[in-house]
Amino acid sequence: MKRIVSLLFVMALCTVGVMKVQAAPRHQANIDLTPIKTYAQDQSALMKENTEMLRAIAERYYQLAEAAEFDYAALWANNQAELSGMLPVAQTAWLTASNAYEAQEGIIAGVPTLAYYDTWIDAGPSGEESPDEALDWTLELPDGTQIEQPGNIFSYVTEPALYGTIPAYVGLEVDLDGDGEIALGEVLPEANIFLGGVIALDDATGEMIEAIEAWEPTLEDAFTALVVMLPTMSEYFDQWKDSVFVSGEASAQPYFVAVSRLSDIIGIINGLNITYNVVAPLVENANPDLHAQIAAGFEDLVPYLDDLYTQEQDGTVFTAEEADFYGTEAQTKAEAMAALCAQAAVELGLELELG
Amino acid sequence: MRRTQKFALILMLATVSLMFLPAQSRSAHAEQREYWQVAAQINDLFFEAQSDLFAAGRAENPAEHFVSAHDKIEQADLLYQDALKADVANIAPDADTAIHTALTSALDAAQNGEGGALALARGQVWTNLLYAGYSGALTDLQHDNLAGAAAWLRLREFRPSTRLTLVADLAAQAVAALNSGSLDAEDAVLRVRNDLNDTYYFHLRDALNHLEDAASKNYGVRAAEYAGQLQGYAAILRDDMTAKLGEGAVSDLQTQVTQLQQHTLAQDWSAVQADIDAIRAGLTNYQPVEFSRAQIEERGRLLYLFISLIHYEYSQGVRNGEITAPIEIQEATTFREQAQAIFEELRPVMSQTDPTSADRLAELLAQMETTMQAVGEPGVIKSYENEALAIVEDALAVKVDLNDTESAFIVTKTLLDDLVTSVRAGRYDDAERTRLEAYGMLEAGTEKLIFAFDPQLGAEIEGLFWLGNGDSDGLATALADHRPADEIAAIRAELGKKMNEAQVLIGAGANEPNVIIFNTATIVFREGLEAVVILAALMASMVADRKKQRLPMVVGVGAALVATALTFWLAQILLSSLARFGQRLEAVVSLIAVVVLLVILNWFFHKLYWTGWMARFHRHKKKLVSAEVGQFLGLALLGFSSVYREGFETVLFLQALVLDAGVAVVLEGVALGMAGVIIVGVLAFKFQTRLPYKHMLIVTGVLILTVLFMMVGNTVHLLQAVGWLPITPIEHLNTPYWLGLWFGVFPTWQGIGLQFGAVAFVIGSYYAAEMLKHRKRNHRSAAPQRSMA
Repeated sequence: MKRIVSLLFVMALCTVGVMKVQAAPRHQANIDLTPIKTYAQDQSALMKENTEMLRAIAERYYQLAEAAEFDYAALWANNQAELSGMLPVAQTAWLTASNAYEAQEGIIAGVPTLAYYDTWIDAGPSGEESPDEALDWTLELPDGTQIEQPGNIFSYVTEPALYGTIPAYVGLEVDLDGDGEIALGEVLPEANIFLGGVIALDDATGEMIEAIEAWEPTLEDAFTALVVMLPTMSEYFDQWKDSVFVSGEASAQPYFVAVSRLSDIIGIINGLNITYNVVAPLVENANPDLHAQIAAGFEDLVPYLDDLYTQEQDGTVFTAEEADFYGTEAQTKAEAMAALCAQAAVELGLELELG
Repeated sequence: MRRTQKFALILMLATVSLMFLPAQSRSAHAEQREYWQVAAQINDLFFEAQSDLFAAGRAENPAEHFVSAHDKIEQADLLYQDALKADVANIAPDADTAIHTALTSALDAAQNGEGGALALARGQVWTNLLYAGYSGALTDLQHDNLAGAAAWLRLREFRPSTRLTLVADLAAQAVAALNSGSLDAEDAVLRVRNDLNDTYYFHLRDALNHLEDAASKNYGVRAAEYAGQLQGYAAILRDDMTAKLGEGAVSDLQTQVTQLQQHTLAQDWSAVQADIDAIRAGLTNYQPVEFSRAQIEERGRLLYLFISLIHYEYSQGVRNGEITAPIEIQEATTFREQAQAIFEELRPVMSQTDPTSADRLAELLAQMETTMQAVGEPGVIKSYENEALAIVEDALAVKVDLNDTESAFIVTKTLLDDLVTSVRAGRYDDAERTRLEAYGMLEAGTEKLIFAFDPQLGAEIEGLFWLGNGDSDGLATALADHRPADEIAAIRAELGKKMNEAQVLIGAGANEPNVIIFNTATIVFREGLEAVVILAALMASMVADRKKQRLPMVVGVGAALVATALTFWLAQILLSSLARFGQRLEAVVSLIAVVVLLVILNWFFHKLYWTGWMARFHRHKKKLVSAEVGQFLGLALLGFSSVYREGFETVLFLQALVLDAGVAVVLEGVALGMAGVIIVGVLAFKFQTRLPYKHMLIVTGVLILTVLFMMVGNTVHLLQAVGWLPITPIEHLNTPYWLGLWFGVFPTWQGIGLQFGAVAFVIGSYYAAEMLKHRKRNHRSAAPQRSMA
């Protein structure tokens, strides 16, 4: 009997130790992070499907332009029917690829090992605009022209070529839809920049997919994405304020004309919401109150942005002051959520670094 | 169920209940108070009302929107009255008054479609809700109501992240640390106050900037909201500003804010600009953050460190008035800027005690900058540097050993940041030189320690500096290939993580709070058990008529407990006064603790100790109970000495753990251990239970032997870290992290050798004593045989 009592006594002491360990927040239960990776893979596969389609169209377009000896009036005169069908499809493919990217941008830009692709594909400025921050890459065109630090491929190369917002990238403005008016985006792109840009986009997408395949998501990645990307709202809202969607014809900004920056913001938030949902059980386990506040933040912010975008799609034209009002509101909400996510990371014993 | 079984069950239930109780009370409390949710709803209703007024500007029938806006504000008002008013009025009456006034004004503004007035009211309501959150958090914290403080703290704003820093909830972290026992209450209040003051001062200045920007764009509604926010932010900081700037300055500020609000509503932008300028001028000398002594010392050491590096770097980059190595100049500039930034933080502290020195240090740092820009003589920089270092030493009472590992880590990390800056600017050659310098700094001594304590971590760090590890690239390769800045920043981030791990490994050893709590509880329980055994034996005969003799014994025990607490307190004061010796003090105290532990263990396993020790107490008791005079005092002294001896040993031993993990964590372990002792004591004295003392003493003895094993490992680790003991790594042995954390096992011959040596000493001395005893017995039994022969 004495032995049993001694054994129970030791067990009681050990229970104290074990209870303390379990009560400590610095433990990480096993959690399956693959849904984050799968989401990024799904979106990038959709993106690649469309960049490949875009590449096929650009190659055909280049052939036609080359046959017309890059005389765009002759190109249009000889191939009006084909071009009228082909270029709107190219714009749709570009939009789909862009939306697919935005839907995963929260993850790509927020994960340190993938952030490079965000700068290259969607976020980096040109060398002309910001020499210090521009990514050091060279765009090589089919005619051998090399453009150093051209900026990100979506906004600085392919969008201006397809929508004609940079004059040097336009072959000829034409009435693509035959409604008797030449609206924004009704252009024959300059074939070299169009094909060169699209090839770069398709290749970069392929490389990004390989990087995502090789990526082993960690809790640090997930929380870094949340903490870094949530507060980027203000930058996007500033771009929205300056874009044609708010400033209309007065906008001097050649980017973000194809799709409203609000759509991009929604894509990013949705990606981050998915990321948080994957790690949410851990946060809830460590601190239910904190989880409730973060979850409420997403429940508030996502419909807020959806509602704003719906209003815009329904034809509401916001004044610049209103855009500032809405943007600041979203930024304030997002900053608070980022701080709460940072606190959750601390409670889970994670160390996040900007690098 | 027999008594012994009951005892074990009660003990287990008691210890488990101790773990659960605080958590249950916390969650029950939190469910009742969700201030942040109500405040967010009120703010959202204001937002919707503002949206209505914006929509009215586009609508054919704006009146409908005005009605809708008015409804929203009414809802906000009702919500406030129902869910928040009582608590806000109680905790921050000023905030309640301001919110009430703003809500009334908002109702009128919404009804009349006055967007500016509504926005102004929104700014006031929101920031006064924050004011309530601020007051509530600090008040609850000061009253030790952690759940209440945490609930209020969820109603707050944050400083946004920057390119170099992530957003952080330092106040919540402080409350969590207080809750876990790794921070004391005074420090927690200071940290919460500092975080919130810093945050709201940032937002006050930010609101001024936004207001200025909105005014320049003629955004009347936006400007009004920022003007409204200023009122609440200023209210939050009012007490702190009054203490630092004086009542006059704060009164002026309030007047200026009121004027600014009026001018903003009138859209008199030139007057608004004048008000903004006046407010900014009034705040020039305001510093919202207070530092603890430890924080001042920490920053002081960094300031000293960065100043001391400026001349060396500069002298390497300049020859005869010309820049010969720009990278060295860049590094000197970086170190000077770091010193400047830290000095700006510390200046208000220095100015309070020695304004002349603070001014002179500011001049010296400015002169260094001017001289470096003019490519002046390195000798001039050296003279500035020497004078600046002397000021830091005198004014802040800090002295830094430039060769210690902490300094090496700080400088290496700073150089690595510089490396990334160079890459972002496209200067790959400069980045490569910085890489070599950073590696050289680490290699000079610290790397050897890392390899000794964790060869795998050492190899990973080396790999990240050079050619990479497995699939991941190293800095040397990435720089040679001119990889993009983001890739190099990612490698630097990984290197930073590994270096942090190494810093913990070298600096602190096994300081996991749970280990410390368990070890403390074990030793307190063991020593307490000993005292209970002695007292039980002494009091066994104090029954019937002699029962009254127990009273003086109990008095003595009580006095011993008080004396033990006093000894602990005195030990704390002594150690605090020696805190500047850092790791060296920890090494000495750990060594003392190991010696104490060795002696204790040596006694534990010797029956001789027990029989001799008990017999001495019994003799003493017998003498006392038969004496006519001074019996009470004598028995009280007996009770006192039985317990205080154990208490003194415990206090000595616990100091090493206090230095390792802090008082709060150790006290948690003391509480757990004492809970066990009290249960045993109650069972022994009140219920007269016959406990298996011998088995319990053996079990606790074995547990303490494990503690000794860990303590020796950690002490050797510390002695090696401060350079007092050589390091001979055991080749090809990679010990896992948990072995170091839980058992103090690190792969060096000295560490593992002494750990096993200590255990062998204790066990060996037990067998030696047993052998000696047998020999004596044999000798005694042999002696009569010889005489018979």
